[in-house]
Amino acid sequence: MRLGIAVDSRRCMGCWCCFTACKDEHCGFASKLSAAQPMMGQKWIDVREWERGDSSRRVKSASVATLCAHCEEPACMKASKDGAVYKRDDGIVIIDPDKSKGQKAIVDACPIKVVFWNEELEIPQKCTMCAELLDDPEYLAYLGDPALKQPRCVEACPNQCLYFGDLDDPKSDIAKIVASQKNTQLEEFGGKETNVKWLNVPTRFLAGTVYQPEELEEVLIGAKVKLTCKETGETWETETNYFGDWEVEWLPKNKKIDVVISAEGYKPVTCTASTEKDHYVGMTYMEKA
Amino acid sequence: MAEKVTHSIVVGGAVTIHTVDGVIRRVRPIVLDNNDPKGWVIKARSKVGGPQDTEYTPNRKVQPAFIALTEKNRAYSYDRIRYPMIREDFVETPDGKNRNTENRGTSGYRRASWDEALDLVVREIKRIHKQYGQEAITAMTSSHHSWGNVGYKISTFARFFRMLGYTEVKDNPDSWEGFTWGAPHTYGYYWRLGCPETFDLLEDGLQNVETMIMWSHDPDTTHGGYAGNESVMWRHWLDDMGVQFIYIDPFNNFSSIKQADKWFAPRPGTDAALAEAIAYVWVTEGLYDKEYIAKHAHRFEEWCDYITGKGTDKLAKTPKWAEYETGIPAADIKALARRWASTKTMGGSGMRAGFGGVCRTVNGTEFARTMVLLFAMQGMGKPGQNMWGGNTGSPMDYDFWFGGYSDPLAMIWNEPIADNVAVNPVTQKLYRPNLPDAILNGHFEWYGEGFCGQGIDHEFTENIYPKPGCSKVHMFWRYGGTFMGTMLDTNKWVRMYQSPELEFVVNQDIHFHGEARMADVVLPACTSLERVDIGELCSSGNGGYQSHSQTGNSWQVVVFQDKAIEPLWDSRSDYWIFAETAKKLGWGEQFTEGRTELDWCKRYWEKSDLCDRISWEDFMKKGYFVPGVPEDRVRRYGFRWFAEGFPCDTPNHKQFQEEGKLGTFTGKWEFVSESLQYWAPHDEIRTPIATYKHSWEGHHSIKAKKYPFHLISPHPRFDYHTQHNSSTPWFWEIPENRVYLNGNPYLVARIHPEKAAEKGIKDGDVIELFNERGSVLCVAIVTYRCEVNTIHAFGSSGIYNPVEPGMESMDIGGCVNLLTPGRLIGDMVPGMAPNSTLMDVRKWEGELPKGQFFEDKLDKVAKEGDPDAETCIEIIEGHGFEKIQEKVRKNYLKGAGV
Amino acid sequence: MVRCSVADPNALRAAVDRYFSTFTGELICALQLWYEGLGGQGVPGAAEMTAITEAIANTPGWKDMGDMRYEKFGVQKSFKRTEKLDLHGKKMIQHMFKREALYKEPDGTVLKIVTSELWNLRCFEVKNGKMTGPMIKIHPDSDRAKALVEA
Repeated sequence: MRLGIAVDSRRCMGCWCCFTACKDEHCGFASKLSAAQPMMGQKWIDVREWERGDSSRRVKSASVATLCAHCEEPACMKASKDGAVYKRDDGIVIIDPDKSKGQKAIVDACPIKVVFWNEELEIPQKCTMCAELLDDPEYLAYLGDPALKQPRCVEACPNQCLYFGDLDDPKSDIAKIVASQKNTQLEEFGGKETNVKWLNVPTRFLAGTVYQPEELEEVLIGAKVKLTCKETGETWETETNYFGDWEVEWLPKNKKIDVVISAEGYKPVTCTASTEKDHYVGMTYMEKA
Repeated sequence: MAEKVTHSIVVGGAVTIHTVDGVIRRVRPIVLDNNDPKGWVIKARSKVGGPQDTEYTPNRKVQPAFIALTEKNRAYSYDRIRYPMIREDFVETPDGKNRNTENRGTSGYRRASWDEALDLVVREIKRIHKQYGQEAITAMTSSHHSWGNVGYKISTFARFFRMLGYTEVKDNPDSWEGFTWGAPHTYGYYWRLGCPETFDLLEDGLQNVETMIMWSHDPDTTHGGYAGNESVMWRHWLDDMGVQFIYIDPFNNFSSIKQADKWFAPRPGTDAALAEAIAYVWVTEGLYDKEYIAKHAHRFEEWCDYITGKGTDKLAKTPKWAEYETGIPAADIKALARRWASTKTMGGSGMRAGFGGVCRTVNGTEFARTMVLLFAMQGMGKPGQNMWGGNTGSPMDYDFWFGGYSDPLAMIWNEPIADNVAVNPVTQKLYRPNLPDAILNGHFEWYGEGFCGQGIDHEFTENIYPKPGCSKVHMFWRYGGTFMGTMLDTNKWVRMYQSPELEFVVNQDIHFHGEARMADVVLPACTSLERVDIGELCSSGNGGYQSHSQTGNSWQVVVFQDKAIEPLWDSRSDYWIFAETAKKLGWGEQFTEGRTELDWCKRYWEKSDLCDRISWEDFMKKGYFVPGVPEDRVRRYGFRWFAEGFPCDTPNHKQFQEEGKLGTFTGKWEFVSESLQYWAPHDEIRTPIATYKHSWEGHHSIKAKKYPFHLISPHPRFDYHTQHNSSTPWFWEIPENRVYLNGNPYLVARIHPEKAAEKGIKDGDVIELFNERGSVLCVAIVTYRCEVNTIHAFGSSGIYNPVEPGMESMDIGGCVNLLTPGRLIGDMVPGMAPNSTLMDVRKWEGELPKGQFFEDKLDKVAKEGDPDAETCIEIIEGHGFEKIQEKVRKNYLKGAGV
Repeated sequence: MVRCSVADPNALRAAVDRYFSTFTGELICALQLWYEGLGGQGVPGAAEMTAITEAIANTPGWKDMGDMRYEKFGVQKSFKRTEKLDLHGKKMIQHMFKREALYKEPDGTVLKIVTSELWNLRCFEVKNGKMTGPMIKIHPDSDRAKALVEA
């Protein structure tokens, strides 16, 4: 059994229900597994968001619910002393609120900064995957079905962005979603296995709009756009849509990409774009051949 | 340990509440169990163009918005009014004069007992009656600060004041002005206040639509009104199947940034020009449903003449012309017009397809009417062609009736819920947006009845204050939720409150928000978690103005809003406060009709279909009831009857719809409005042909030379009106909402990188938004999500922190309505236009003012009651919440032991 | 621009008759007839209003009701249908059962219809001018509905 949470970033609307439910559960209330979360200052689950794009012509945002990854080999556990951090049989990583006193190294060890230092109690704190609720046979007993018991963040998510379950059970919803979606584990883990799975976290896009000669004031539909990355040898092809727009997602980060725009009867246009950031290549006015 | 589970409805959705030992432990969504009915199933495509072979059904939980999950915080919040309070320097002079009214907002308070406070209120009511007459008392409710058919604003409040007699303050349709005042002159639907009927359009959309036009529409933010997150999956389904979402908004809003295939950013207030240019493309290229128009349109040719430059203004509304007005390239406008015309397209503005920020501009009526006409030109009512914003119109059992909050049959002042109807004997009226003008000038005239759902003619009734033969008002009883953040030109409200014309001001509220701080007597009401009530999620009723709004939910759910905890501190339920006052006035028995609050709740069960479906005992025990949708449900698609010409079969219709007519004079789509020609032929703001007009405050104004930016202040994503942001410090940690600096939660304001660079503003800088009406300090977010001339800051700030309390001073609470114009859209268009605001912005170089400015008043009163009381700052940042819970728990367990 | 010339009494007569032959409403005023029946555009003048009013007055089956309020037009001089409505076989529920109106059952019980929808009439019993008891649901196709008489 390996309990995990899958975070499907594609679905996240940034509604902050997960964050609020987590605060509701843990702020001001201690459990067997953790001291109370302070009213302000800690985000056991955070919605980390960034704007994508460098032009109002094409702008998007990424939202990534970010919580303790319940790593297979937790760096925080390695940094802890006296068994202050332990991994349960179900895979959930817990910081003991008593034993961890004074161990700031546990906070510093986390590669994604989801362990918080409680100045007042001098302890590190983080997500428990609501293990205290999962353990409690009374909690939600009135619903009748233990399967309805989920961590608070997952239960509160309306977007089917968060999935909870046993990663080892191939029939579980979480295993299915992990198997069917683009696995995009956060770079900070350096490829190490975690029980929280991040899916569809975007990389880079390039986009643009193609127009007929400027004086015509018309978009150009169906123009071919070819992207080439000389460094990796990869190519991508697309066409402009009914708005003359083209866009390619999932490009490798920090590469130089050659862009060729062509359409029958027009002179091809070429340029080079960088994927250092998400980038709108521009409004391209084609010239008649 | 005694844990109990109760349920409630709040403006953010339906919730489950866990209470342990007399204190609220947690607030959760309602997770449906196996005894609840199956969800509806819609069979539709999995890909646009594909077969209708995929089944869509909702998640088995009723999904609130995140604001609903903070109801525990709202209960124990730092800004709770804990005790009855009387303004320190209030003097009960026998003639009502010399009461230091100029100090309202500045002065502190002292704690009072309920008897002392209510005795004073009753003495003042009697004095006012004797000195001036019944009409000298006015009272006004909030916009949705709580939920429940008994305790809700137009139920208990209305019962008390109708029995007392008062000058009613008519609400303006502040969220959808342009649709109320405009759209009925194009297609009727005045009985839905200008919004279209969207019955069963979720199914139609999932099966047929190819393009969604989300025009000034942010469904993920506005939550279908009170539906929480019940509809989010529907838009994921549409998005996943490849439906193209086109968003039109000066701000790339929170739905758009995630789901837009294309975002258009018109300069604020120019949307009508964009609509006209779309029409130009359609008319000149013949891209519209000619058969439908020939049959259903009135004076279409004249309108085409106007569009193509053959009208009186001789100006063709070409895409190039629109490019100059809107800033959107002509080529893009043409592409938009052609996409819309060549695919099955649904869409609309704002949360019920007839809302949205654009209709809250000076040009709002003209935009609303033109947009409606565009949908008409594509054959509105045919499959996949309709006004529908992707957040209403779910399958529903139309044969299940439970009264919603605005249903006349579901109010405790009215029969059948009450035995005796309460009738207000006073006919004098006031009008909310101009209440301060009326008080300050002693005179105000206006057209219309505010909400004009009873008829187009009601838009044109002539009103005058004071009404001949009536006294002016001298006592004001404010109930629930502040308007400091939602009504315009906030300083006007400050001036009103400080006027000696208002001899006595009562404020009855849960939280110590902007207006409560202006009162002479403050009465602490409890939250809906501290009293019993009954209600239906997101239902304004099946006979109200937003009839069947519960089709914005995936689940129809009626909830027994059981009392989770006892009222905190000295707070009481609104019903108790009114009943007690009535008793002191000598008509307590008539007010209650001998019923407790629970008895009133049961009346709703008795008088509705609920009693056929579940026993009262089972309902109370389970806490909620889901009627479900029969598998063989009958579909009643909005407008289909009109497009196909059969007697109207949709709910909440009018007789003439059965004759195949719309609610216009001619019964057709009026491209030239006969009703306006008849009722308001000389109105220059709203002309018989809807035309794009320059705003009285817009980029063509002289003022724009001094104040070059447009401020748009849409309905908030991180709040519900003014109700949650203030009480929930967790939200101040959300970077897209606020930044907590120096003990104050600064609202974020968004600016385009190009303009930010010109102004030397960087992301995270403190900036001052200002114009001649006021100034507000915010924190800058520099973002490409803003149209280049636009500053975006969410409206409805529940936090109003003037640096000099009680003065017309700079605000650090984010109350951007200090900057918005207080005037009506037009003499005959009595709506407000917050999104027609010009302003400028600069980097704030001064020191940050100290934190908030009202907590000391609360702290002082709290300490009077209990020297060990938790201070506001302890509750925000420290252990105040835990200490409060500990005290209540101790008391509870003591009581339980006895 | 009027599609039917009001100045020509015969043409007007014919147009009014044509309108009434399919009109299913109970109440009519000159303004409504102008816009709906005559294809009127713009506000009719006094002469036109007089001519149309007279034409309605001279139509058998309509009686003068004096001033009545319309939700669209406001208060207008009005005429009411005197004969039973011909619905041309169409199921027009609010024409058959009017909302907010009182109906009598064969046993003398008075009901107030509070909603009239195709799938249900919802009523309360009215005693001494007050709505009492639980909500009564009557299917519009039922015998009970057919036995209702407008009070």
